[in-house]
Amino acid sequence: MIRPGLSRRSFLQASLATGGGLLISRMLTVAPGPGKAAAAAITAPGSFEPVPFVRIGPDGTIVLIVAKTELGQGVRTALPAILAEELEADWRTVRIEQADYDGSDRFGSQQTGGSNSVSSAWEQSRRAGALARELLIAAAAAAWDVDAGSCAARNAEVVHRPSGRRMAYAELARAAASPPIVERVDVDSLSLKPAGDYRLVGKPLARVDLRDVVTGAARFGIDTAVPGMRHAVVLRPPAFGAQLVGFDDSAARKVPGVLDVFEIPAQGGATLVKGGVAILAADTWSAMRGRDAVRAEWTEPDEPESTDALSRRMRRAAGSEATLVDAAGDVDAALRGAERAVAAEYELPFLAHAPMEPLNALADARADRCILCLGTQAPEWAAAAVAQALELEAGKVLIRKPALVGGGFGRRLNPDYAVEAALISRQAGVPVKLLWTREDDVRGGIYRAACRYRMRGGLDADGAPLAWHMHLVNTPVTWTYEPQSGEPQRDEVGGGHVYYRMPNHRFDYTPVRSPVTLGWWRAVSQTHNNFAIEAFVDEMAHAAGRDPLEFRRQLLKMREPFDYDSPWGPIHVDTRRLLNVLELAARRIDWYRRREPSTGVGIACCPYAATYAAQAAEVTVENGGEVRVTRMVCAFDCGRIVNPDIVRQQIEGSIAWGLSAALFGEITLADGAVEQGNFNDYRVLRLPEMPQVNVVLVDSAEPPSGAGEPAVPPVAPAVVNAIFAATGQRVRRLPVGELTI
Amino acid sequence: MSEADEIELDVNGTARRVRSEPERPLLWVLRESLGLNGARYGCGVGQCGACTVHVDGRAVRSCMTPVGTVTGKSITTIEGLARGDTLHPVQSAWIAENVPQCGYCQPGQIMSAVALLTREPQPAEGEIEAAMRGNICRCGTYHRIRRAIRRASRELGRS
Repeated sequence: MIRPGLSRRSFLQASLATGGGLLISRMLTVAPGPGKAAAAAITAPGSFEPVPFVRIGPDGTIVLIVAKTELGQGVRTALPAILAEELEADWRTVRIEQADYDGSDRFGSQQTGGSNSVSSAWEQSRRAGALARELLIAAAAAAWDVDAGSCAARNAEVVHRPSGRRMAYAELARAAASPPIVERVDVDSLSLKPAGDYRLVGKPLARVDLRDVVTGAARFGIDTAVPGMRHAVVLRPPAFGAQLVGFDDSAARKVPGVLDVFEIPAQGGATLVKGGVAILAADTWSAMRGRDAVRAEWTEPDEPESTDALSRRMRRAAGSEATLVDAAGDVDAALRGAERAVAAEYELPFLAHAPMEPLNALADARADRCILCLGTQAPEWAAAAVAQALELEAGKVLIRKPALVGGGFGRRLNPDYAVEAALISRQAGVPVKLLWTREDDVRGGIYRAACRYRMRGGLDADGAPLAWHMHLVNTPVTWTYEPQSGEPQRDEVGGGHVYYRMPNHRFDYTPVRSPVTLGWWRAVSQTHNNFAIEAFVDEMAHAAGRDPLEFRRQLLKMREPFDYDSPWGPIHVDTRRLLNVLELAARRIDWYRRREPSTGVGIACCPYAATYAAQAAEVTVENGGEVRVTRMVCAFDCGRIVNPDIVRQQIEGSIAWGLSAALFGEITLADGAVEQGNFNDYRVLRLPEMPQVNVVLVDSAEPPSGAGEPAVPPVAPAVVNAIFAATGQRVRRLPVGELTI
Repeated sequence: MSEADEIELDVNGTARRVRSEPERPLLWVLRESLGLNGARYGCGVGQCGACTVHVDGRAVRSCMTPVGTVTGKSITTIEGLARGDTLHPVQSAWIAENVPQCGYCQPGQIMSAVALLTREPQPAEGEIEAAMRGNICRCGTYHRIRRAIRRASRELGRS
């Protein structure tokens, strides 16, 4: 336990290994030693840092530090709220800062993605806050020379209950001249607030940056400037697999503002820097104009990729040999014996992320170190990649994160743009802000893969499913980073284990090669696997003459919650929580109400990241085949909710994201090159196309689970299922676009 | 391609002088010559609206507006919308409805909304859609943008 002491030395060592297996190895370690001031939590005169996430400055301001990147998913508000709850900070006056990444792991993992920020921070931040609170209490008790057990913390003050003496946290930084002696702290034994006492967690706290955003004061990476900074863009390979032969920069160098033009060689390995010609200029527009004036020659790829060629290869592969992913029973025998057979093939396109803030990185590469300002979802990977590219020691790369990043969605996991900026800065000898133009972004690859599914199902005489066979063909994400990987299916099969009761089922996978580079797109493989499951179970329901909701209900009721093995470890599916959101969505959209002709409702559900989501869509198809999604209802169970308004925003956003992809999103290739280039031809959802949205949040005391991605996958299948209900027409190829009636 | 020249601009009520070619898009002059970063680059071709500012009260895409065409006109950026500490009703409505997620496109959204409400303080749904269809949001805040515009419209109707 923590108790005040008389010695000037202080020693604290805490480890935060918890039963959940979450992050943080050490919070704070200070070795005692003769003459060493007890710097337990004193980092500067008058400054008090009880844990890495909390700093109380000499002026009394309490700063909470966020180690995850704010991409719009609300971590800058939600994570500090968890911390502040246990810390008993005054939410109205705290300041929020982003943690830099300097190579240390004192904040735990800073990688932001997989919908795991709140769920991983839940244990970490509560314990960090509680630990900081106990240290502050101990510091006050030491200052008053009383027993810490007679003190309590509330709303940024420590109170000595018997006497009523109070000391604000702000004063403790000044008062804590002799910090408390603490013995080894068992962090699991820290007392945590009961949920009934929460004043911040579970409340729809306003986002901390609202005023800055609406006044234009907010600073994104693209807004950052440092003295002596230059701007750069890169002339990039026009086709996948094309390489630079040579270039003529004579015209480019005559463009006012252009300072230099030089090659950036392709980097091998997983960084995916494809090389090209860097144009360095005094400002962005001059760099862009300089780029337009460069004449470059590229090799022709050996086999220029095209959508047609890839589709043909995938179609052939769908009928060929496959790797078994999982199976139960005997699907082939069951299909032979089935009363009624159902078959379908689905085609899904490449999808780009297109975050509103185009990729950019500010790098200052010196001889022995590199400092970056980088909007990244994976600072650890970026730092390692930059260190390797510049041949620096690990730990010599510092990543500063802008407070806000204009969308990640998985694209900002990759270190490619950081490495490019670092290489250009190294060559130029000055800090360089590299910008990817929107065309670079739309054409540059790192897509969600194009996929093909061959589905077969069998029903018995009563219309009950006997057999389910799902065969996925695509280019695996893994081969972009490990071309020789023998386990290409690893990143492709998530969410593909059918959660409906199917007595005989099989999931097969066949990879095909393609030079198109791939990455992680919001909700990753669930976006295609959940589509296949939810579209095909709908087809089976209709083939059985059954209502699609009732068909699903029965199949979920017949299956107890279960675990299955995935490449990432065992996954638990709670079929009761899944059924619950299905029912809630159906009820909210008034599933059984008869709609006018040409209007239908469709439904889909999805388990992902320990969260359960259901989407119901109401769609009207106009005379010309124009598909209008008029309403979406999402029922969502993500366990205990830290900020319900932020969760609602994530669901609203997931609906817009999912509809963009379902209705319009498509990257196509011809002659090795991407045919789209900007928002005029890579179409995304706009305000008039946003339907009415209703969100039903499940009130749960389960541990917090993901909210950033799980509502995305069921959007597309709900829409195609609704189109079928409206028209009797099955859409088996995305994007939906316009129907031919 | 013409030469850079001294250009005088009226930005947020203040006379500013910059050196630029007349063809340079206003967006880059605002961001890199004047340090006004609220107008943002999202596409460069007038498709996304992140660069939206006002020229003589009308919403324009500054990425498609050569700076030479706006001398002698009144330019307003997001930074010029508030009066000191007093936010514009649209900015207040944006905060009340918790509109932003990542926040990148929001200044452009707000500038388009302000131009709409200045022109038509009580817009019909179709007018809101027409005015806002040029502003893309990849975080999907459209739902709340509609609510914030209606909220601001009610506020303006009261005053």
